[in-house]
Amino acid sequence: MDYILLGLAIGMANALLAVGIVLTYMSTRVINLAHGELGAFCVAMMLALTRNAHWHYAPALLASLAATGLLAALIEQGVIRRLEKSPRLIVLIATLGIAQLIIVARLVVPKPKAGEGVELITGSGVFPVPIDNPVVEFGRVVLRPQHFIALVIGPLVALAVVLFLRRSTYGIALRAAAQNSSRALLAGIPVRRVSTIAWVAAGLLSGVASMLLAPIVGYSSSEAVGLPLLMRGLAGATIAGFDNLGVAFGAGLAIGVADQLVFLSTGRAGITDVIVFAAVLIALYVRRSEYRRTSANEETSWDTGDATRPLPLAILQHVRWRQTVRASVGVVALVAIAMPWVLSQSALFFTATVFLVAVVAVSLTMLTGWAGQLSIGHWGLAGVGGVFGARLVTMGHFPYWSAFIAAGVIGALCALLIGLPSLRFEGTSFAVVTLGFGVAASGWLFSQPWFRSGQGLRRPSYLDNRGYYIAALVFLAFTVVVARRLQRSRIGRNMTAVRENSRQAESFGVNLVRTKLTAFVISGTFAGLAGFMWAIGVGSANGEVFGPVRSLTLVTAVVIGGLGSIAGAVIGAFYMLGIPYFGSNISVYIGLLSTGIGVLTLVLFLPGGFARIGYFVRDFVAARVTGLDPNPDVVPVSLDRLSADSSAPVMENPQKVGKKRGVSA
Amino acid sequence: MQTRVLAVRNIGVAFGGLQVLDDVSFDLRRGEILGFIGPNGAGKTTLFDALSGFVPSVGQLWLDDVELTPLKPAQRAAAGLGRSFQDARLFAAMTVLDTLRVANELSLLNVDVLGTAFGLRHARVAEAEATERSVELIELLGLATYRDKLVRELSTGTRRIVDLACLLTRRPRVVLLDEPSSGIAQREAEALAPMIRSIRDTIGCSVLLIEHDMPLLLSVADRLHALETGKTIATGHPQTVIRHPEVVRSYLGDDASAIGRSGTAAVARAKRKK
Repeated sequence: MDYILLGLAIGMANALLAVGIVLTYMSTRVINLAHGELGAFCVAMMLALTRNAHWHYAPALLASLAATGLLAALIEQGVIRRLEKSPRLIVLIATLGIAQLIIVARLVVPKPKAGEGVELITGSGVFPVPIDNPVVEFGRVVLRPQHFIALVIGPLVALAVVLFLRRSTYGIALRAAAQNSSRALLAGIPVRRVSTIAWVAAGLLSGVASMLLAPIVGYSSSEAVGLPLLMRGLAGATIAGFDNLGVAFGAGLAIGVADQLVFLSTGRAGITDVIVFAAVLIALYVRRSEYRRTSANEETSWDTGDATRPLPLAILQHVRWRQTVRASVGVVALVAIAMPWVLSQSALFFTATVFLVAVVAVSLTMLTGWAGQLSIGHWGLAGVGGVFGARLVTMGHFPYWSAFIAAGVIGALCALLIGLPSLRFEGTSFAVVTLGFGVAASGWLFSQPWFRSGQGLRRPSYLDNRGYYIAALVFLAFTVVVARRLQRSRIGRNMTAVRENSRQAESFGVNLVRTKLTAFVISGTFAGLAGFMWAIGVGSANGEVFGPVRSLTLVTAVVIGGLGSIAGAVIGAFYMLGIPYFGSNISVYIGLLSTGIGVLTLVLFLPGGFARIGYFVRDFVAARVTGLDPNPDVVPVSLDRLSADSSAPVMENPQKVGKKRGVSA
Repeated sequence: MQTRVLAVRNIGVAFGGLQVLDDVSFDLRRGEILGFIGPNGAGKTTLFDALSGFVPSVGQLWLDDVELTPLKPAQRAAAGLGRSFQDARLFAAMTVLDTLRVANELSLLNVDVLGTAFGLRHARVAEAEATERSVELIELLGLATYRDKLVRELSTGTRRIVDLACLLTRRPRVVLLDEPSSGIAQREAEALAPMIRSIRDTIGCSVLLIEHDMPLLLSVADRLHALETGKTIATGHPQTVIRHPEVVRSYLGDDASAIGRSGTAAVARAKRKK
């Protein structure tokens, strides 16, 4: 009972986060991945105002909530509204970009001072609480004011939301718009204003929830606080099927209680992330029949045609085009091989790590660009390979090559385990599951005694900077070759077909779940292999090295490079890592800033990414060297012509079709 | 009945509490073209979805001696069921050639991941055969200039041809055609009848055909099956079915021009075909 009460206090925060996510989902049909960041931003504001500017509690509270609400309104007006007609997965990626920008905004807010100019990084006593009483010992727990505040404020805020939805005109309008937005628009409901209000309300909910939570579970100013916050809310929202505020509230509470009870029985803290992840999986399983139904606006399809358009066969087979391709591949290879004699040691090492991130990016573009399944926990998969491989080396004294292979195998197994329950559903649930995995892997799995790696992971002597560079280069080249072969074969084609039109693909005999699983397992293999090589380079493998925020970087890399394009993924990796590397003397936040802005710019203005520019260049060169049009006009053909002409092929040559088919069938 | 290809028994589909299909049964004979008519919402497309395995249903379905009822859509396709969709959306971001190669899936099942990744012989040979077959068919249908175009760049009529080409290359035993005339010009629609017959003759399949274009339907269908609100209201010879009082009441109306094409010439042509 005592722990249940404590759990309820924490659960209040989860519940309000979940309600906020459901609210935004109802209004705009998108899972707002920046939801946790909004709350984290609010907490940072509050701390800066009370600790650094010495404001009183109440005005600081109002100011930070107002700032958060304003931020939410800005997001809705500036980004979400512009993407009204875009596929929902693109909007999802846009919210990822927003999340990265809010991280920057939060980090720019001055860090709270503990006293004589020392910046506080973490601590549980930092966050201001307006009252000092009561402190009650209840059973085995001590209930402090912050718990009571949560227990009182939580239900009140929830009640306010319910009253807002039931009674106010805007609330009713919001529910109508959630049911059918075009019909609501026709009925004269200002759907857009309603959606802005929903976003502001959700932003405020996230702010309140985070401020209830901060004094209870402690405050941290590291990058990765928004994602765990987000997962707390997402778990409740997923259980509620993203459409039931009451269930979302209850589920949030239940997760808080379950968290405390597990803590009570195991005595181990820090497994919240795992419980949240498990809750998402269970929710998907229980509500599987509902998630299997998809409406048109939740389809996974995004048109990557611009990023993957092939050249006409006539050009591909043209001698001079082949020579050109061979020559340019040769030049790239020469430059890459010459690097060790050109670059400094540190630059060489840096380039090698970029190659490894590029491998993970290529593996992600197969999964996300081809098969249409967005993974927001891909760096976690790399981490599984990295940590497990490092464990084999440091604690089992395995040779490096066998640990490398084992890292790939465990990456594949892990993908299989996550994919089996979650790839059966269409839509965005896979993204939620992978995000949960990324967070739980970093926060829990990588520090478990039976999984974590030992100390003292050293590079073997043959992997000095030059050797490491060459190994990474060979590995990347191998990955690109394999990816290209897969892309041009049945394997890659089926992935694209499943993404574009799953029913049509099925009616051709393509096995849906197997195709998506194949994509994820191949992807997980490469991620695991690259993760191990990364760990060797960094010299350690733990939850920090494989933190969840880099998963966002990876998604951004493949989007910026052009979803589905292999070269684009490699270029995207260079962009994402290169800018922070060269720009770090300008600002330490330039990385997050450039990725956040980069992804939003691309999503809003240049869908198709860098690959689109690349294809423009390619077409130009192809036209110059072969003299053929890379995108020739077509002779219109119609059913009408087929039968009206005497040359109607099907009519005239049925035997011919039959014979040819007969030979090969 | 020896020539029976498809046996459909007591198919029913319910969405929530709504009975969308109720106890629909029919047989399809070898080489037969069976047309489905009924007003919007009668359950025609739902019936096709149930037969292809996209919506859960009760009842039984046999293709030759194989019971398809417990099979998933992809397995039903492998058993010889071909489906064409009303929108002929295909794969917007893929080229025509790639679309056809996907349609060759069932002949490519031995192209595995490792074989592809390491460029092994069996994978290369199977891919090359599928490509050759697709390219031949594309040229045969006069689509050569479209081969490397993305599907989303094609007109609806051209997409329909690609869609039919996919059926030709797959050679299913039974083809489910869902309103092939939708979204294409009337002149093109008139060309459909000979095309449907030629597909049947070329690959030796039987056809289930949903069609609102009555002249087209009457010119190709051997039998008609009329549905209303999920129930069978008439089945049999086309001329019998379209004169059936319930069909006339619920679907056609008693205005003869609904059966003929708009424009007297078309009506006359439709009559001549009978």
